Amino acid sequence: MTGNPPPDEVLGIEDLHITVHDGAATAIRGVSLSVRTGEIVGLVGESGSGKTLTCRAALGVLPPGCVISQGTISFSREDVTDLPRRGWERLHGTGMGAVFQDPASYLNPNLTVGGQLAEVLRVKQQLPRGQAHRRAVELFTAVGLHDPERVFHQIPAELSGGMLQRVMIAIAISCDPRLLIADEATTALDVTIQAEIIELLLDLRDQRGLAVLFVSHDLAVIRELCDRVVVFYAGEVVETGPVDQIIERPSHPYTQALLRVASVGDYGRRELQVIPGQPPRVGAEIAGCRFAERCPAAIAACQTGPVDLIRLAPGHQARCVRATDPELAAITAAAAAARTPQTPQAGQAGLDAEMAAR
Amino acid sequence: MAVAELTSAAGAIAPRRRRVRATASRIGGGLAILIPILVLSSFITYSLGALSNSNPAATILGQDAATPATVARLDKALGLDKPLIVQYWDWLTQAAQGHLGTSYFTQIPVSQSIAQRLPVDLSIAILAVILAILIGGTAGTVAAIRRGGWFDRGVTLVCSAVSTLPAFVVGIILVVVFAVAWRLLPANGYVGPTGGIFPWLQHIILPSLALSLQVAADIARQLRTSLVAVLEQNYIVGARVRGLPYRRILVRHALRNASGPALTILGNDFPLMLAGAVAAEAVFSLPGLGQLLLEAAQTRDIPVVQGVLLVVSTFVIVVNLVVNTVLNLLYRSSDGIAA
Ligand code: SF4
Repeated sequence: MTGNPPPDEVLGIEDLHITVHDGAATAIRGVSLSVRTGEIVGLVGESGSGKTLTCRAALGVLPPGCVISQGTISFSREDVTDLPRRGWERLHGTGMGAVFQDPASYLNPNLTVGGQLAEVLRVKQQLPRGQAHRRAVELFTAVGLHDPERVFHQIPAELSGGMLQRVMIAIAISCDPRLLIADEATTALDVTIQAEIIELLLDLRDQRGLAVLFVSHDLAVIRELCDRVVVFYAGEVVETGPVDQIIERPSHPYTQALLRVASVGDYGRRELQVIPGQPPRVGAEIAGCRFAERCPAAIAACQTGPVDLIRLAPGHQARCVRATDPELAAITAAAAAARTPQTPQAGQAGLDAEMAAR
Repeated sequence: MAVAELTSAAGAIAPRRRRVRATASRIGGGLAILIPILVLSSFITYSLGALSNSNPAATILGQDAATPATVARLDKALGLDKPLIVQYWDWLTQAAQGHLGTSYFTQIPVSQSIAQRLPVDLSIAILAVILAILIGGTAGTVAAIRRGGWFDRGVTLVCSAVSTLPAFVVGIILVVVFAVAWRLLPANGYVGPTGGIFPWLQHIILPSLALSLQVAADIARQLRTSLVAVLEQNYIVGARVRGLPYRRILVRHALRNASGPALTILGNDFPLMLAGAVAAEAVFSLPGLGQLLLEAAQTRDIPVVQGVLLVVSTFVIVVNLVVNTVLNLLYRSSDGIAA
């Protein structure tokens, strides 16, 4: 889209399409995004919007039945779209690391967490046993784990969620990767721990120039952490831009709704609940704007044909025919005001869609 | 619940030492329970023999010589006039020192005949276990990795076919193919390892194979199921994004965690293998414990029957203890078995 990628681009995704269920449905359509060295890019959207699938594709670990049908993924400007297994083995750990929601399930339940970190150091950096142990303890200290010697010998079931996420981060950065992909990494944690993890990620960025792709459905977290935001809706990027612009002047009705939810929603569970209606089913073929069914500002032009991303400012784009319409914000605000006292419902349907996509 | 226990004790001791202690105490517990189980099972075996309604003195003396007087004298000499529990206690204390009495007929010490024949069965059993693990493990692993493929379907088919075949039928088929038709291996007999490793292997490979196939099929099926489940776990994805090589993930993370149920099956199948060994001994005319037991049972040679059963049940119990210990070492977490 932008022609030549910038020289410091770490992750570049270009016009990515992913089909699920062995090609039966297209879950990701034409997603493009890039992350540069030292940059933290946020990926927001409801559950089921394709954030996780995009991350999995970028990591080269798509679930069975999911295939990249079109588009390219590049890492440090090297095309990795069809990288064979050996290539990914080289890239994982040393090039990119990842942390996920529910860290306990991503660690082997029968091996000590220290052993699992040391294993990576021994295999990827050929460190001898003793040195790997020392380095592992250093890394545990660096991610803020107290009593790292003790944590080293514990198995995942003996640690709390926050501690496990620190362990995961320590493992992910152990071989000094350039990119960290964090998929809902703070979602299951309570607020204080969440803030600490965010602090840790910011430190890592500042100290190591780590690039971070941070996925969350929580705009409040994104606002604190990210430089740029990419908003996903039903497998498409609907808006992308610098974080302040998106927060202050959201140009897509969906982003506007998302922000309203973030400001009124309760802190504990900011699942997107106030936008009425449900996102289209995964793979549903829709002629025009995929948000039209739920959009308070929809007009006839919205449904006639595919809607392209429109450039609004340098680096700020939105996929909406009325993005430049000065009345748009007022219309969506009025619609939201009209139904403020509403029972939250929509979130669950999105969650189901995400489960189905897996 | 072991984990809850561990976490509550978290304050004082370092995790590693705590885990070593927990494992040691579990093994210790296993050993402690071994003694009563052995005593109980030996009592049952002994009583079965003693109460089998046979009249040992009459059997030994033969129909003609068995006058009430001679029988009574022999009973006294054999200690058979004492109460059962006293007899049992005498027998047990002797057995604990390795004396299992003497055969009623041959006057050969029972422990001596067992010592002569045990190596035969031990050779076959150990080789059969190794073969079962090798064949079943490989088949199950490859089937799980290529699930849905032709190899997977083939394994499923062969497994269900094999599990309907008793060991002696497999044994006969093997003899017909390898010994009679192709003349590759001897059809029967036994040569101990002292007679050379190769002849020894030549003589035990067919019976071991016959014994192992059914267990191998069970292992393959179970391992396939649990490995498929483990390979779908998040921690396999986690290991992949750490950049660990595929083979390492498969062996150290997937197979290690998936092997438990198959190991349990191996433990459970072990008595079955012993039963099969008796049949295999007959097919391959091997001078093993099974033959000894059969002959003794037919002639009502009670001390031999009791001795053999004691040895066999000890083996079964010890094998189970070993399996449980290995499981404890593999699964440090209570939710470790994913399948
Ligand atoms: S294109 Fe139309 S329907 Fe879609 S978001 Fe914009 S105004 Fe709403």
